[in-house]
Parts: sequence; structure tokens; C-alpha cells
Amino acid sequence: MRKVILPHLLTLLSCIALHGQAVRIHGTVLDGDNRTALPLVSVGTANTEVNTNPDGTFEIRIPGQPDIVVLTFYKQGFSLLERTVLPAGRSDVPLDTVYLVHPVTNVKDVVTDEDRIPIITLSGDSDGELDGGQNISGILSASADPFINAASFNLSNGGFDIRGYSQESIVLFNGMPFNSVESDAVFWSTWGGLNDVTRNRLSTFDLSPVAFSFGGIGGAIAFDTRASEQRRQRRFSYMFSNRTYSGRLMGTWSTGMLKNGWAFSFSGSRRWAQEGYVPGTFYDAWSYFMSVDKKLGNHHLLNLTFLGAPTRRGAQASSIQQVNELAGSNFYNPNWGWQNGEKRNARVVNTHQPLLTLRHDWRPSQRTTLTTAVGYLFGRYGRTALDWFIAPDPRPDYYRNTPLFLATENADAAAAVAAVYQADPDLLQIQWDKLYTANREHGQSYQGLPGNWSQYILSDQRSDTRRLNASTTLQHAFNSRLSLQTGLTAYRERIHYFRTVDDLLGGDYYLNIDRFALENPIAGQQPGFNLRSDDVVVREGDTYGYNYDIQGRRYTAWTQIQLKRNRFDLFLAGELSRTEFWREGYYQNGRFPDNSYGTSPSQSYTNAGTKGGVTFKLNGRNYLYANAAFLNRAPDARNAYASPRLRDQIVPGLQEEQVRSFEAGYQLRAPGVKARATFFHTQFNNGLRLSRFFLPGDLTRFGTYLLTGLDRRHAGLEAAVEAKLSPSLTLRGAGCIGEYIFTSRPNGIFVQDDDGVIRDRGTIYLKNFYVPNSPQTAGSLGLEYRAPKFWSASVTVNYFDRNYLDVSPERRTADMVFGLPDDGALFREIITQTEAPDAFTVDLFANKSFKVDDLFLYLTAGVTNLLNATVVTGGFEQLRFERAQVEQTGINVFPERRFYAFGTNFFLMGAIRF
Amino acid sequence: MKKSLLLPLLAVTLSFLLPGCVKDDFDQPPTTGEDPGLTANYTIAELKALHQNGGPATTVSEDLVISGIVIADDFSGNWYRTFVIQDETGGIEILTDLRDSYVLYPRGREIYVKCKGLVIKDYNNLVQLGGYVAADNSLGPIVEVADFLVKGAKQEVPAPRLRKINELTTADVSTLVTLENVQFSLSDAGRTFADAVNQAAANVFLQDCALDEVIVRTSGFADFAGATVPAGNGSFTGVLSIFRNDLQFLIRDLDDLSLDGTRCQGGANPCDGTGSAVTVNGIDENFESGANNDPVQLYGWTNIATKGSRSWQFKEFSGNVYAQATAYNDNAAEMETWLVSPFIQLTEPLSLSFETTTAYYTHDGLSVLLSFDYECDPLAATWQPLNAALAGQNDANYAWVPSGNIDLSSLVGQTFAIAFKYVGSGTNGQTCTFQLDNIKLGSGGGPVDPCVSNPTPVVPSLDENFNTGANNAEVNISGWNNFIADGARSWLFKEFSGDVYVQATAYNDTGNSMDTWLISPLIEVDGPKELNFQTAKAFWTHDGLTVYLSTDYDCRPLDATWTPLQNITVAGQNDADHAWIASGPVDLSPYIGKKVAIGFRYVGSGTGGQTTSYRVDNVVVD
Repeated sequence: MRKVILPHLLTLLSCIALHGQAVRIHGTVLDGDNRTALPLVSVGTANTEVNTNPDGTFEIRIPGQPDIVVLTFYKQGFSLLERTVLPAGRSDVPLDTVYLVHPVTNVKDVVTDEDRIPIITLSGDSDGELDGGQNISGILSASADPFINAASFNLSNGGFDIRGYSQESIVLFNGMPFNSVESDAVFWSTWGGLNDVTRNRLSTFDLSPVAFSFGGIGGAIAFDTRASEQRRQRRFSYMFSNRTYSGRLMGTWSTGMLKNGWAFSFSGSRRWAQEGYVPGTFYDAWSYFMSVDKKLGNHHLLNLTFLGAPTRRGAQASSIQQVNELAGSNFYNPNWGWQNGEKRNARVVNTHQPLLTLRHDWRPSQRTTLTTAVGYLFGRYGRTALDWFIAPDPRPDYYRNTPLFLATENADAAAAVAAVYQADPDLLQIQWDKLYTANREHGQSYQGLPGNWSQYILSDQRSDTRRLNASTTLQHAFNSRLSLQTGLTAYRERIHYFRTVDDLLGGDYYLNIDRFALENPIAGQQPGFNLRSDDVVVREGDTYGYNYDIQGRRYTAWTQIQLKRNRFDLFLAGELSRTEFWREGYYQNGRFPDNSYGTSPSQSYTNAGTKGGVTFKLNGRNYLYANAAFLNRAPDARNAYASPRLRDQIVPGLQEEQVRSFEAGYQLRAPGVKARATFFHTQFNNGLRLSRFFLPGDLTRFGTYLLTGLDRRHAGLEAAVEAKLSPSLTLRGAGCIGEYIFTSRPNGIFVQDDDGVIRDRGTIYLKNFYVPNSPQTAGSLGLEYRAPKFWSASVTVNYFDRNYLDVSPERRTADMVFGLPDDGALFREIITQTEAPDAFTVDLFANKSFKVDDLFLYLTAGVTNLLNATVVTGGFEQLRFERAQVEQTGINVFPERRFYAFGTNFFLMGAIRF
Repeated sequence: MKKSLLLPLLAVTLSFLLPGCVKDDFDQPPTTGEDPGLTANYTIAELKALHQNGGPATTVSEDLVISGIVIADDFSGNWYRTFVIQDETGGIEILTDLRDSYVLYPRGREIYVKCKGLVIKDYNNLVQLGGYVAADNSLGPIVEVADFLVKGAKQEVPAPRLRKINELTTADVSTLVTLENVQFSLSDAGRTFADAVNQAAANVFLQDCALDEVIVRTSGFADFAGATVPAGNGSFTGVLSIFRNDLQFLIRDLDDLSLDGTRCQGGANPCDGTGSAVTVNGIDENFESGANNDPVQLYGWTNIATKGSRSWQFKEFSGNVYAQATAYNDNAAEMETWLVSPFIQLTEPLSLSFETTTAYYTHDGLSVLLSFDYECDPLAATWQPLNAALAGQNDANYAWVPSGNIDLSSLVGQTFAIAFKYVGSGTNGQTCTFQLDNIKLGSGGGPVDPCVSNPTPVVPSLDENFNTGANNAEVNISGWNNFIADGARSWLFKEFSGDVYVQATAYNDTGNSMDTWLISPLIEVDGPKELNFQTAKAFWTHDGLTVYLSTDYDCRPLDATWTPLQNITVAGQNDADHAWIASGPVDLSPYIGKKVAIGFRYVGSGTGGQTTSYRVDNVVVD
């Protein structure tokens, strides 16, 4: 994967000459669409690389007298082209004109992961964890590596993460790093619906060097939205699907570089669904994009990009299997309920985070490029959720409402209730009418205030990010063998967390008062959420509950040297960074008046990383390579605060994480066969994991459960092969056998929500448990038929196995199993990690294109999971566990919750381009 | 390099790398706990000595740390939110705010207690360690247990102290004690340890062969509350407790009992004075009131197994019910069971007659006996045989043999009891069956069952406003049953502003548990009818009032099937004190054709803080 992805660094097939003169190969590269000259096309062999001139011509010298030379032509936005040249003793070889074409049938450009992967929010006690997170997993790939192709398209449906990493890659947008300072998360939805104009990207997924960044353990992806780099086209498409949305209209107009030095690109789309694949999930999204380039002389290019995707969509939540079965579906969604004959979702994500970037490219010579960019991200991100005062929990799958819980008290009653639910599954949904009735008719009044005091409301949990980034990157080639890349980046980020009243559900007001503090008063605490305001009455649109920023700054400097020799390539890179973050509270919380308001002390970290690697070119076709990286990195601000909604208390044991990563592999690049096998081994030490939940037993309260000193190892072997069986038939296979396990016994610490007291929970016996939520064995085998008459079809079979669910740390303590027989059933039940069942899926894809005069018509169709297999993509044990109840009744009221991949799903798309 | 070298090279490379991939087994937490590294600086005996029994609560102000091994937990339910630890010097009960605290503090675990800030108090002389003194001056539990209780490693439970009943002292309280050669009193053997159905605690008596006795108390919530108290003799282990001046044991579970030996004899009267003797002037018992296979239970009669576990049973054949005893298929080496009549006081010269059968004759297992000194323990009485014709070897199986008239006219003016004693051995071939029926002495006059003599009346409707009652008097309305299932308190009339209602409360009750019923007459539901009533509560601490309906009630509350009424409104936590809450109508039409009784049951605990007062008024059915 490494070399193909970065074509200008590619070291492809070549014959190695030992002695003698040189062969000069020269020619012209043109755009296959319009026959215009293509400048800055990378033309390379294993050892040499040149760029085409503004008129598209190039000349490359190969030392010695090779029998065979394979030239690689690559330009961003075009398909990679290889041409085999047989000099046959000549010293001057003119080539036929080379035409580069845009990839047109790459399914990854048609649909992205965001379109295909269920968007799941956790419900219940651990709700707070995902605030602001936009948990869209997966990686957008434009790579030609067969393994990455399979992993990012076919295998990601089964929850497969490359190397088991959930988020280890650096994402750059027009040169600017895009990962959040707070959590390293990437807001993929920022450019949702802009598939046409976000195709230009360079990516790696391992430790190999990239020219634009030091990269992460999981590589780096750089998006380039410059108008001049966009394919010149007008394009309209319509897609019909049964996935998260049912329809998508998209239009794009890109001018290419005009003679007057300007280039423009516009794109927009609309995505919608009355109801997506999962019941109760609607989709209502727009997107817009504008990019303008201006060439200033021959050496400067300025770009301004502005984009955004206002999106509203109903979210899905996972539930326990027993409730799924009552509802008759693994896609049971407790988030919705009937209201006035319509399905209303209580968990609506409402986001609009526009992004503005300004980029300057200076290319003083063919050898030197200086790219400077600034960007600003802003806007809203909100997720609604039910909130309630002193009233019964309204969530339909709240554990006390389930037959599972009733069965611990009365099996007959449980069976009767189960029968009622089965007869009328709508009862397993939110009963909006009851909430309105409760608010209106049994309305209470607060201290005689007129109107109804809503006991149930819909709140909007906001995490609005503002981020200013700046970066500059210098790339310089000293000669054809030695090059240097170096860069500086700076971030300033504020994430504003607050909650507003979204809908009073028929009542007239709500209170800015902590009901838990009211119900369980603690001496010296007051129940008001904000002591700085005397007015505790809130109405729709008002902020209540909590109101604070997590702010951060990060500065990074990095540099990298690459050396290419005949027999080997070397690179070495280093990075230094400084990270600071702090909390700024706008509420003075009544429980924690002394450490909730104002700016908290800043946490700051200085970190360093280094990486390097070597590639041995055994001959023109066989390569061995090895890379290694060592990093230490600051903890995420996301994990740093025990209960940031209430106070600025830092979790105990906050520390830096150390990462050591190593990979070694073999790559074959022969005509007709590409293959790769890579062993990887990454050790993460001193990690921190944090979750918030209710801990029963001797503490019996809500709080934050921390694991400190958590080490894990991601090791495995990934391999892929792509073989042309005939000119029209290609076989693709990819597989990974990994072992992602925890390698330490972390320490458990519980920080109590109500008073901030820190409780040691002792050793968590987690060693050798699996890192959850990615299949650790996965493979896919596909056959593609590409007919000469501009159509193609492919079928792929995927296999997923050894996907383990997330475990509850409290269940792996000595306290939890005290006194049990070591091999008893209960002991096993408590500590054993659940493995999801293995699964096979079949995907189909077909494509046909027509050309009528200057108009191209594309028809594309795909079916994923054709056989409607049940695929568990992950899940988690609920953190709460009541041993006595399990012991006495045999029933675990808090069983695991699972996530499922969609069943059979499809899309049909038609596009015209002119 | 040649291509053929590549694969071996790759294989060698990987063989170095892959061993890192071989995963060990899943981690396992130890099941024996972890040593917290604390040391005790005080003994339990020293700690208990800080408190004077009967005196005010003692708050520990020093940094005292005690440690002990848990000897009793709440697993079986006999302790509730309480566990007992013991060190070399003694033991102490610890009150926590946790249900199922055995998960954290199970038997055999060493616990360290950081006592500073905790409170020592005695509950009727039982010293306990708790967290605070509640408003009613009782000892509150330790709430923030993690601040005070530190869990340690697994240890051997201390060996029980070996004692005799008369050697027990208060120094043994809250320690594990074993008694050898003891047995439960005969009047308790065969009963249950407590009332599991109504979850009411009960006492039974344990005696040694010197007839020293000690109470064994069992909570109605213990999972063995409904188990039968064994009759045999053997060893007993329990945690000694005390209530006022009475030492009493609590057992942890039935494994604490090893009572399968032969009972020791001796003593004149092990009857404990429990149960009131019923005296009759005549007998006419045809057993027709019994149900097939039930143990014989007749008002005034005693049916007891003195060896083995079997006693007399009701049996039915062709519509006739009789009593039967048999060792057939019995596992016990010896079976001995007595069916003893009520006390008979002869006022006129009468003869006794009855009928017997035998089947599959093996031995003369039945004897008919008479005693003048019987009180309640047949083994303690002197018996003389009565000369009667009994079914025997030569009689056909199951053929009824009349006893003939046994003249008792010489006993006029005396009081005596007649016993039918069966002996056999299931393991030793003495297995034949004896049946007994139609016992007559005179023309009848069996014991008078108050429920028969004074049956619950049947009324067509009800409109009870309780206004006939006098303030503070026990409720005593004709046709209504004011019944105490547990504790000492019952429903009282109360008057306020001229209105009389009934009230039950455990407030200021010194008993552990209170369970009292007020049951209406039987109401004939001969058409659509509705029940309405009002309730009020005061000083809410718990939901103590439940309203039931029964369709098979006839004077004996505990024998009836009670169904809680659904969809009624009863005064609750959020209602104002003393505010009358209407129940809402209860539709009785599902019971058309039946006779129903309404039961107002109050359950509370004066010492357990369940002290809500409940009031009921205006019970109307029409």
C-alpha cells in the first residue's frame, strides 16, 4: 500500500543496470478527457522521478542499459497509469502520447462510509461519552492498494478497522490538520454530501512517509479541494438507496484552470429520507461547496474554499437483545415514538459546521513547494435528548420497563408484559402523548409560577466547535535522490458545551436545577446549576444544565528526510508538539461553586515523535520494507476532566501515552499481479480510558470510571493480492489476522459525580482481553469483470470473525468475583469476554457508461450484504452489573448491547457529465 | 537476488516476528480478594466496651481500626442489611445501607473497619456498629460504606466456640457458637422456622438433654423460613444474639444444623407453654374435613412425628376420608408418629369406639393409648394401653375393623387424652399401613372451632364508617376480624373532630415487625357491585398498607388466598399527612356469584423505621 499511494515517491518496477550508459525516455502527457497538456504529472521509476512540464512533456534518464523499464504516471485526480518500455538497446526512446483519465467507476467515490454505516448513539447511562463526537468510523480511501480497497470498502461494513485502530490517522484539509485537539476526532460529516469535490486525496494507512505531514500511527489523509485540481466538468447525479438516506441529488460544476488564471468549482447536494434503513431515522441534509483559485504569475496559486453541510437526522440507538426480540428486529430503535400519526425521533442530530480555508501554494522551482493554509471551522453541533425532572424515566427500553427486569421479581408478570409488547411493539417506543399529558394535565407549578412546569422536555446537547488552524509545509528536493519536507502547524480550538431547552413538550417552563442534587442533597451543596443567576426558570431556547468550553492550543513542528538509492530507500522523520488545554466554565455549579466557574488551570504537554524506515529493492518486482515509529503523546482533553459538566476536576493519573509501532512487509509488483503481505506490531502504553455510569454496590452512584496504565498491543498480518486472470477479469483477495489485546492490568479509579471524591477500584484484570469492536480476522475475495464495452460488474465475498465486544472493567475486579469457585459458571459468566458470531456477506456492484457526443452518462448500482446476513459490528457490556441479582435470579438485567450492520441494502445511481 | 530466495526469507522474518502474536489466556481476577495492607489497632471487644448497654449511642472519635472475619452475611436473608464480623476477642454486628451486601462482605472475608465517625449502640442489648443516630434514636446504617469498610482477603471462618446452653454468656454474643447434643422442642419440630408466606419472623426453642433451652429466631425473609424444623438431635451452629435479656441464636442457613440423631428423653414438660390446650367433653371425628394426602391437622388434636419424618395423613378413598400412617417406602430407619386427641373431660359415662384397617400386614404397628399427664409432648407423658380390637394379620387388606365399645365410664370427672401411635420401619420391613376412622366418644361434641361457632357473616352490602368505635379501642366490630399476624399491635379506632376511623401504625412499637389485618365480613356479590374506601397516611416512611380481596376467606386469614387489589389509590408518600384519599371504585363484577372479603393489611416495623401511620374509613360496598 505504501508506495502506490504516494506516487511521487513511488519506487516501481525497474531493471537495475549495473554498468554502462543511460537510456533517455521522453514523451507527452495529455488529459484523456479533453486532450490538453497535463503539467506536474509525476513520472517515475523505482529510483528516479520527474514531473511533466507545463506543456505536458517530460524526459527521464535511466542509468545503465535496462532490458525493461516500467514507468508510472500519476497525477492527483487521475487514475494511476503504468507503461512498460523495452529500450532494446536504444539510448533514446520516444513514447507515444500518454493519456491520463479520471477514474470513473470507483465505487468509493460514489458512496462514502458516512452513507453506508449506521450512525449509532449510545443510549443510557454512558450517554455523556459521545458528546460532540461524530462517531462515523472508517476511512475514506482513494488508494490503489488492494488491501486498503477491500478494508475500506467491503470490510468496513462488518465493523473492520484497519489494524484495529479506531482513530489513529491524521486528516489534513487543504494542508491544514483537521483532527480535534480535544479528542483527535475528525468531523467527517463536515463535508458530507460533497463526494464530487472531495475525491482528490492522498492517503496512507501505515508508517510509510508522506510528504505533507509527519502522519499518525494509522497514516494520514490529505484532502485537496483546490478548484484547479478539480476535474473540469459539469455533473449531475441522482442516487436512490435504502440506507441512511433514500435519495441524493448532487450537482457540480468545475471550470478547471481558465486562461485568465482563475479556476472555479461549485458543488451542492441534497440528501433526504423520510425514514432510513433503521425505523424512526429521518435524514434531511443539504451541502454546499465553493472553491476559487487564482494563479498569481507562474509560481503562486491562491485558493479559497468554503463548504458546509447543514444536516438534520434522526439517530439510532442500540438496545439489549431481549428487547430487540420483542420488537422483532435487530434494528429496533428506542429513540422514536408516534406523535400525531408520525414517527418522532427524540435524538435528532442537527449540525451545520461550515469550513473556510485559504491556501497559498508557492512553487519557486520544480524542486520546491511551499504551501501555507489557514482555516476556520465554526457552527453548531447539537443532539437532542429527552430530559426530565422528578418523573419516571421515559425511555421505552429503560431497564426497569423491560421484561428482563420484571422477571427477576415475577416471571409470570414478565411473560405477561412481554406478550403485551409483542402484541403491540409500538409500546416499545416513546409515548410522546403521555409525556405531553404529564406536562399539561398533571402539570405542576414551581413556586406558584403560572403555567405548567414541564417534567419532561427535549433538550439539545450542543458541542459547538470553533477552530482556527494554520499550517505551512515546505517540500524540497535537493536532487533526484535526496528530499526534505518540513512543516509547522498551529491550532486554536474552543468547543462550547451547553444544553438548551429544545421543546417543552406542552409545558411552559423548566428549571435550571440539578434534580439529583435536589433528591440527594449533600451538605454544603446547592441544587442550582448556575449560582450566578437567580432566575432558575428556563424556556425554549434557553441554556440550562451546563455551559462551558473546552479550549485548546497545539503547535507542531515536523521534518522529514528521504533518500533514494538504487538498492534501497531510507527516510527519517521527527516531530515536536506542544498541547495545552483548559476548561472555561460559564456556570457556577451549585454543587461545585469553587471549581466550576471561570478558567481552569491549563494542562500542557510537550511531546516528541520519530519514525523511520527502509525499503530494499530486491529487483524490479520484489520489495522488502520495514518502518518503525516511536511517539509519546498528550492525553486527550476529552478524557482529562472527571465531570466537565459540573466542574474542572482533572482525573487522577492523567498522563502521556507512549506508542511504539513497527511494520515489515513484502511487496510484489509484477505485470498482472500485485501482492503485499505486512506484519505489524504496535504497542500503546499508559493509555487512559474513561466512561461515565452508575456504579452499584458500595458506592451506589454515578461517576466517572477511569482506567489508567492501560496498555494494548495491535499485532497481526495483513495480506492482499490482485491478479489479472485475463484482460477483463480481475481477482482480488485481502485478509487480516490480527491480535489486538490489552497487555496490562490497568488501575481502576472512580470519581464520584456528586462530590468529586476519588475511589480506588483496585486492579482491573484485563490483561489479554481483546481490544473490542473490530473483527480481528477478516477477509474478502472478489472477482471483477470489466467488459470492453464500458461496463463492469463485480462480486465480493467477505468474512468477519473474532470480533469481541467491549468489556466492563468492574466485572474484572477481585471484588466482583470474591468467593466464587474459580471454574464455576458464574465466575465464567462474569469475566468472559463475548465474541460476536462470525459472518459472511456478499456484495455486488455493476457499472455502465455511455458517451453521447460530449455527454457522458453513468449508471451504477450496488448491493451490499446481498444475503441479508446478520453481522454484529460491535457492542459493549453495560458497565453496570448486579452480581447478587444474577446470582439469585440467573438474570443479568444489564446485558450487552450490540450494533448490527445493515441487512441487504442497495443503491442505484445515474449521473451525467458534460 | 533470486526469486526463489524470497519466500524462505519472508518465512524466516515472520518466524521472528510472529511469536509476539501468541496470546496467553484471558486474565482472571483472584477469587480470594486482595490484601489492602491495613492493620487493626483495636479489638472488637475493646470497641464494644466503649459503649454501655442501654446507654446513649457512642460515636467513635479516635482513629480506631478493627478487623474481623465475616461470620454471617445476608445471603440467606436471615440478616438484612447487616453482617457480623468476629476476631479473637469477640464479634459485632455491622449495619450497612446495602442490600445483598454479601457480595461485598461475604462470609469468610476479612473486613477492616475504620471506626472513626461510626456509632456504637445497642439494640435491646445487642451491640451494633452503624453510621449515625436516626431521628427516632435508633441506630442508622453506615451509608458511605467505602469510607469505613475496607475489604480484605479470604480467610478461614473462625472455629465456632463450643458451648453448652447454660454456659452461654453475653461475651459470646455476635460470635459463632456450636452446641452439641441438642434438639428442637417437640412442639416446634415439624413447624416451619418462620412464616415464609407472610414473611414474619418466629422463634423456636432449642433444648439440650438437660432441658436447658435457648431461642432460635428466624426472619420471615430467610430463604429457609419455610423449612421444617427438624426433630432429631445433634449439633447446632449459629451466631448468638440477644434481645433484652434473652440470648437467642440466628442460623446462617440449614447447613448450620446437623440434627438427625435420636432425640434424648427426659424432662416432664418440654411443651414451653405454647398453644392453648383444648378441652372437650366428647369426640366425633370422621376426618371428612381433611384433604387427601395432607397431614392430619384438626383443631385440638396433635399430630407429631417423634422418630423419622412421617406423621399421620388424611387419605381419601371412594369419598371417605380417614387418617393413615405407614412406613411403606420410608427412608428412615425408624418411624413413630402420634395422633393425640384433645383433652377429654368426661362429664358422663361414655364408651370409645373407632375403626381401623391394615394393609400388607407386617407387624402390629398401631397401638391405642391413654394418658392422664399428657400435656403436649407424647414422649413426656405416661401412657397406658387401651384394650381395643385393631385390624391385624388376619384381616383383609383395607377392611374396616370396628374397635368395639371401650368403656370409659370409670373416668368420669377426670381429664385425659387418647393417642393413636404408629411405629414402623421402612428400612427394616415394618411397613404395613394402618388406617383410622370414625372415632367416637359419646354422641359427639368434638372441639369447638371458634370459626365454626362464630362464622364470618355474609352480608349483601357494606357501609362501615367506624363511627361506633371509641377512640383508642381495639377495633371490634361484629363480623369484622381484627387479626394480628405478627407483633403485638392491631387496628385501633381513632377519633378526630368527631369522625371515627381505624388506624394501624408501628410508630413507637418496640417489636421488630408488625403485621395486622382488618378483614371485612363476607360480601355476597350477587350482581354488579363496587367497593370504595378512603385511606390516609401520616409521617410516611414506607408503603405499609396493602388492600386485599379473597374469595375463599372463612374466618382464618392465613388459610385464605389473598389477591392485592390493583388500580386503587392508597395514600402514599406524596400525599399530605392525614389527607383522605379516595380509593377509586373497585369493580366487583368479576366476582359475581362469589363471596368476597376485603382485607386491610398493615405491615411495619417500629424498630426498623417502617412507621408510617395508615388510616382507613368509609368502606362501602354496594
